[in-house]
Amino acid sequence: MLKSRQHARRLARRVGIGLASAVLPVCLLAGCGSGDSSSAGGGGGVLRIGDALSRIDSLNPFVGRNGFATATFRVIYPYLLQYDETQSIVGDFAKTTEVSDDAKTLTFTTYDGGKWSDGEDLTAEDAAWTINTIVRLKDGAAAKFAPYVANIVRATAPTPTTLTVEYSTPTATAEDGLASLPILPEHIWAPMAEGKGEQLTTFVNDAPVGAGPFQVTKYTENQFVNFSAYDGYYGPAPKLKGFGFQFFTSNDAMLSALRSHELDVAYEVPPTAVSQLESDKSLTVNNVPGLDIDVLGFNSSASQDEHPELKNPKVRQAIDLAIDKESLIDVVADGSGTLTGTMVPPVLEKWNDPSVTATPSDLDAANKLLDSLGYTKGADGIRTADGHPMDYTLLFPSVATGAPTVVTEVVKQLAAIGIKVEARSSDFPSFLQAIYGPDNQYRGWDMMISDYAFGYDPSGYLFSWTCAQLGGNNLTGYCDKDYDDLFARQSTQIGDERVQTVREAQQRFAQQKPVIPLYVANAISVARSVGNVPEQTSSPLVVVNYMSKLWIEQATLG
Amino acid sequence: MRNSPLTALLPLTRRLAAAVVVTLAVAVGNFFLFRLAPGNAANLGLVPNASPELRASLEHQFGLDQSTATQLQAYLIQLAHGNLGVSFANRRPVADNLWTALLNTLAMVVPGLILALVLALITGVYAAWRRGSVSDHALRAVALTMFAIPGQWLGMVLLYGARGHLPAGGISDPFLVGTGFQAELADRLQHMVLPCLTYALIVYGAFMIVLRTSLVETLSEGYILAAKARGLSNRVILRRHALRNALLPLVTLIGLTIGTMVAGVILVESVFSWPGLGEAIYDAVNARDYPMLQGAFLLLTVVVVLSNLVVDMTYSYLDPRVRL
Repeated sequence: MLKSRQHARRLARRVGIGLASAVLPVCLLAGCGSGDSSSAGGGGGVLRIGDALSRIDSLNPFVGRNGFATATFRVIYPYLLQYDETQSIVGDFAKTTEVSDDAKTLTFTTYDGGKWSDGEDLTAEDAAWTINTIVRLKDGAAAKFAPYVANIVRATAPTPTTLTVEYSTPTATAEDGLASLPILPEHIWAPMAEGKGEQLTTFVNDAPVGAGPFQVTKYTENQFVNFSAYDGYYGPAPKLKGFGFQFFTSNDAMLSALRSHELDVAYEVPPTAVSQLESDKSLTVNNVPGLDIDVLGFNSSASQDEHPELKNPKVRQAIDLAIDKESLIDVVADGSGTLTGTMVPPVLEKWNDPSVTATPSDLDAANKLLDSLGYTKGADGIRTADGHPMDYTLLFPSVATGAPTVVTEVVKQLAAIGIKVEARSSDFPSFLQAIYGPDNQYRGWDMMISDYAFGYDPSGYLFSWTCAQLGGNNLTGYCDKDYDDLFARQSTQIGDERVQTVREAQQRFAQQKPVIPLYVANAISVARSVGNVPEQTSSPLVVVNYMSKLWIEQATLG
Repeated sequence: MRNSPLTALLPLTRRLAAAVVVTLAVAVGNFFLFRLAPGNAANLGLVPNASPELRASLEHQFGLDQSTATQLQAYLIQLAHGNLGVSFANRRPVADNLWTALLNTLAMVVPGLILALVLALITGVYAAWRRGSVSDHALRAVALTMFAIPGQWLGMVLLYGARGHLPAGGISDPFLVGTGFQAELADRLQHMVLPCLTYALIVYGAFMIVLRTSLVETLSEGYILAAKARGLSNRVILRRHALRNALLPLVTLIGLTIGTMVAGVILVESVFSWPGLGEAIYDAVNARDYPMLQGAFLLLTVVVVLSNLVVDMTYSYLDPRVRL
């Protein structure tokens, strides 16, 4: 019988020794596999950033696409240009920019004295090589960068500090493109770019040679990446000694780490956590309008013939009236969102058309509109349109911002005007496969809810709905010649002319309503004692902005 | 007539041959299973903004432009050479990826299982010996609660409870550098506490209930009464006569637990950001990383088949009447 205290103590000691001897070898084995022994500094000057939604998908710039990969490229590689806090394009590796009279040639004077982290000189020739290589391979291995080199004929470096980029036609997105293109060390990447350059996409690059303000000191896939300040940087020396991203798989763990001082900044914080975090006076909650728009889209493709009434702008208008977007923001995002009537987020003030506003909810007007079309409600409360019930299939990816709550709310609100919706969730690749259907025919569904976000230039928000993007980024099958013409026109315009055309495109789109913007999710981050960072920024990556080095160069701790 | 050593090994050889056949059949089945999911690694959802040319190029690189039969043939030839292929997602050998993830999972599962077993043995034996008592009822209630509680919820409760005292997530503190071996070891052990404890508590409930029930049954057997009548001490009765017989169902349960460990640990891994097998499989599914999925499920198949074999052999050792 286990009743003797002495026996119990002996047993406990044995158990303890047994556990320790079982734990230790396994721990050491695991430790050898993924330990950190060489990362940047510890405490005092090392900014620790956590995120629970995303990770770095690849350190290879020809492969890595997500926000953290792009943010990493931004800090380790030179870029010719970058965005500042007013969303204006300013110099990075380029000190000055000159545009030719015909707007077809851009000439840059670049910094002198920069070094790659392996000791080689950084010159304008690296920039010219990078651009020319991407232009040459834009239909293959470098296709990821193709939109950024649109209309580029060639780049040349007449001197080590002069770069000339020639375009076949004036290009509205020329500077935005060059602000999105990392400059790579020719001596490292040139051998991989030979021929069709297939090695460019298979190179792991987990010890990148860069020339930005910080360099990667330790990277463990899906867990963390550490950076330390680099003294060969051509720009102003960063104030931090280093920084790092730690990737979590749950928000609870990330916020717990923030509260227990294991982190200095938490990114992509869920809106539901905001009020509780705001009550902690040692934390600064940065809850600002973002770039990520949730939309309800209608299948607008030519092959959608099962429910032709959904192509009727009046039906779309009724649905728009039935959806209470303000309540969506309250219920789904706990108030952390903004309204928009167009597909360009309001935070892009220069481009967003303020005359296109979100439609206020009005159930009576929605019902009247459908009644006027003769779509009467049956005994089951569901309307009939042209002989068939208004009973629709709605697809959404489980990863969409606000899903599944936003979908549940929309389904409920549409039921109030006699429209039945069956919502189907899937992961993102399956969602896209279902949207496009075999041969990009957009068959078998009626509505979809998804979200999207691009950079600070409006072209991304506009081009997704062009005919050229059918089977690509175009999730509704919408194809309208007038809209396409407006898109094409703005892409060769500069200044106010372009702004005007971009706004016309938004008006055309809002009239036809292939999508109804539901809300724009706020970008929310929480920081403890991080200084010199602009409070208002639309990027979720507040300190390490993927469009700029300015934030991380200036950031301080304490 | 005595059996020759070769004859004695025959059942084991037969079982091993069956295990190889099962593993191969599952490997082929998995090959088709993962290709049933919509999309592939060159899909637009995984490669946004990709031109048709880039997608074609990626499909070519990954061999996805070949017929299914050709892909299967290549996979099996690769497998025969002990090569699990290269991950579509990070372009590293699948074997390396799996090894890292497996070590991380074992770092949580092995101590967790040992802790659960020790707790189950202590409380199960005590409860069975004192069956019907208040402590028996209390211990059973605790075990049933642990059995019923969702692992993820339990993990979150422990996470909040230990906030500020133990690390919230990850396998180590990425920002801890240059502090020496001892500090790094201490850091790793600290990071292990919550995930190991959560896993231990999740599996503890079933272990304790099964052991107690089995032991209660054994303790009512006539030979236990006879042992008592012979004046043997309680300790000897328990250790030599009762526990050995009562352990058989527990051994089966441990075998099943090891076989299904990924399903059990994925929730714990998710709460504590633990980069183990469950996380690796989840990521591979999202990335449609066929080589990684094939490798991971092959590994799981081998673990299940081997753990069944080991359980059968253990049965045979604990109860010589049971033959392989």
